[in-house]
Amino acid sequence: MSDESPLIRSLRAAVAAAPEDVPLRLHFTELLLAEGRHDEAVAQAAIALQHAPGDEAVRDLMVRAMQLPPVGPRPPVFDWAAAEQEVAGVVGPRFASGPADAGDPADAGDAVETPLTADGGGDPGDASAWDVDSPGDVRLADVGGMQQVKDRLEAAFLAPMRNPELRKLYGKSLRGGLLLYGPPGCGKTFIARAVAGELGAGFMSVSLSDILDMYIGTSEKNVHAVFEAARRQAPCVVFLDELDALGAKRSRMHHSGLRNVVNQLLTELDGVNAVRNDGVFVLAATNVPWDVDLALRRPGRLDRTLLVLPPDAPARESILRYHLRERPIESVDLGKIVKITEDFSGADLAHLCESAAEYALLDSARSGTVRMIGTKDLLNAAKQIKPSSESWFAAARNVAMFANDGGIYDDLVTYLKKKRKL
Amino acid sequence: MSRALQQADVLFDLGRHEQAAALAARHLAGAPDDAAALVLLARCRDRLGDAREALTSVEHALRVAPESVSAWMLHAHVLLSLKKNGQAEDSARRAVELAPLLWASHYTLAVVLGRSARRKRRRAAYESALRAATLAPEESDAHVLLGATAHHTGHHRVAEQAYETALRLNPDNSAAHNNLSLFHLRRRWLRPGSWTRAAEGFVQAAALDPDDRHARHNLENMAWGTLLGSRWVAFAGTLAVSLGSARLRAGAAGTDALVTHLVCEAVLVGGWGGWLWWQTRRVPPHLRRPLVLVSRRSRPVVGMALAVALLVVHAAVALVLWRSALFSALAIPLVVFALVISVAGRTTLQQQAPKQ
Repeated sequence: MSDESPLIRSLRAAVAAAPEDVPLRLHFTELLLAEGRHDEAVAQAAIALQHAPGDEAVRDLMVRAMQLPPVGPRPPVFDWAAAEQEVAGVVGPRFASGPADAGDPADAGDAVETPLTADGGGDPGDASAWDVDSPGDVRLADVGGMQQVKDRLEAAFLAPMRNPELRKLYGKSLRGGLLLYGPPGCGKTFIARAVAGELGAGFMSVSLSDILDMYIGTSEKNVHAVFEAARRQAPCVVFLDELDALGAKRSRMHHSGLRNVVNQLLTELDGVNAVRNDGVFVLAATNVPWDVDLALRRPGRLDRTLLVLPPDAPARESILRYHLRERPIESVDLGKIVKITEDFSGADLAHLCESAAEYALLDSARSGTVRMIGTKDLLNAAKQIKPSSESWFAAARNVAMFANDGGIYDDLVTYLKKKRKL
Repeated sequence: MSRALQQADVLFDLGRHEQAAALAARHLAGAPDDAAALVLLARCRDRLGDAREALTSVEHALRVAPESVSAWMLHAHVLLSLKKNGQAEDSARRAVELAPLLWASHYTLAVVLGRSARRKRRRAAYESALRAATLAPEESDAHVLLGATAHHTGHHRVAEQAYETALRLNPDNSAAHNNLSLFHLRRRWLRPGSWTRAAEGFVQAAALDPDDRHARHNLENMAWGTLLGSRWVAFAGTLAVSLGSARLRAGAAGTDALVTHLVCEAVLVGGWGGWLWWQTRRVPPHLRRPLVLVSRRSRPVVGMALAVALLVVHAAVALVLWRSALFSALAIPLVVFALVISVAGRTTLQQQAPKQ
């Protein structure tokens, strides 16, 4: 490796430090290709494909790296239903039991996200700060399972919004917002989109990178601009993603810019500007609510909380069906997989399907015979994967023990007790 | 500083070390010899637990910028986590040499020297920490370190004041809450209410930092200590019942038997009643839940509770079944069991103690 160019060496280090940065990896792969190191380029392109399986650029790069003849126009989407009918006598049904059409991609419809691409396209949380997405078709009914979450959302947020007369009768205020919290990868962003859909409101997703600017005063201006845009285009749901970054405890921050962002958020939620907040619904999400500045959680601000837990059994089944929808599977016993994937997040389940596909692929490559993905592959993959929510629950347990003054984490305490984790 | 690097710095401040490392690495792809970015990448890697990679980055930074104080300070911290204390001290001293008026360089040297078990070095650590706190009187962390080094060198008054100053500057400083509570715990027999204040401090420290293990361990110790104290009440009850039942078996009758019975009951009920009254006053309602939750998951505490409970049940039953000498004799193995469990509990707690 001593003859390696400094640029390649730097990029290799950069890719190692940021393994999920697909554009960076693509750039590295291009350089490897330019130097004629095809084997390495194939390996890098394969990793990029794992992160962005739907990305055209990654696929093209893989074709170039493998020195295959350039592909023509992409074939039409494979009709799994027709193929299944055709080979019904040879290959078993896709699932061992359950509704036969549940895995049909056409039926998955809008309820599911499109595959990720390298630039993040398809990710619901990447809208730029000042773009308000028009009301989407996603509804709470599209969220698989999670009935308790839906009920709480209905009671705490949606019912008062939808029934202004009743709201008036009971003197219920529309001030304040809702904070969704829970382990990572459990669908908080998707639920926020579904709430916007239910309200027929526009959707504006705001994350740290959207509003962060190092120049003094600019970050605050950005926060103000976001809320002004939402007020202009009301009804609108402003979704503050990763609130622990946008609204981190001021006492812990060294950067004055970040402290000012919190101050501005407080002003927009509950200050003089707040009188014009009619039709602006604020939702926020965080994995670590205990790191959010306490002032943001006072009455009139993000005063209602909702715990979004790892998907329950029906939700896990829906997620598994979605991730297996375009994969060659045979007689998969979903019930069994659902049972052993307790506490798995949506992201873990996606990883599980990915790993099972890898096993089957490797096996097919070794034996020279293409075979379908079966229950065994999924079970093997599940054994290898630890639920990513474990570390979250370890911290959450401590919070439930010591920091539940005022009962702010009562739902978490109830859940932990139910699971015998407290 | 480039925009990407500034953002990486903010992400680091927010505790998002992976994202910060990714941004720093991306910046380094275009500017591989940027010392500031290399130091930031090293800090991220160090926080992510990859000390070896952190060392590589920071040594690269030092090759590019041999006079970078932040690089020398980080070098010292990374070497310390790799247990290369001698080299860490050299790096820390180099940082002090380059920036004698920077509190952070003295802070680094104090951290490095404070790891030593030798008294002379610990005193040097205290002096460095004192200098850091003098140079940065508004830095909460400098006062916490001053408190810790003063504590180790026996300057208890200075340590307590330092922790109090740290809490005045930052009431959310978990380490200061924990360390100050250790002082309250030390004087629990001298000043009324100190035990309660210590427990409150530990609960506060644990609530402020869900990842901190020290405060939880201290609470576990307190719960265990409380049960250990109750052991004496149980021993007294067992002794009273054993003597009483022996007297009854020896032929005491009439008023004598009644008085014996009443004395045994008084010792049992009075002892445990008094103990419960004392604990109710000592543990206010808001502390009971955390203490119970900590205790439930602690083997030493559960073991001690079991041993004490067995002694209590035995004493109560032995008073009823006073005729059975065999049952009364069971007290001896139960007392031995309680003593063994207490020694085992102490050892387990010492082994489970988080490293300083």
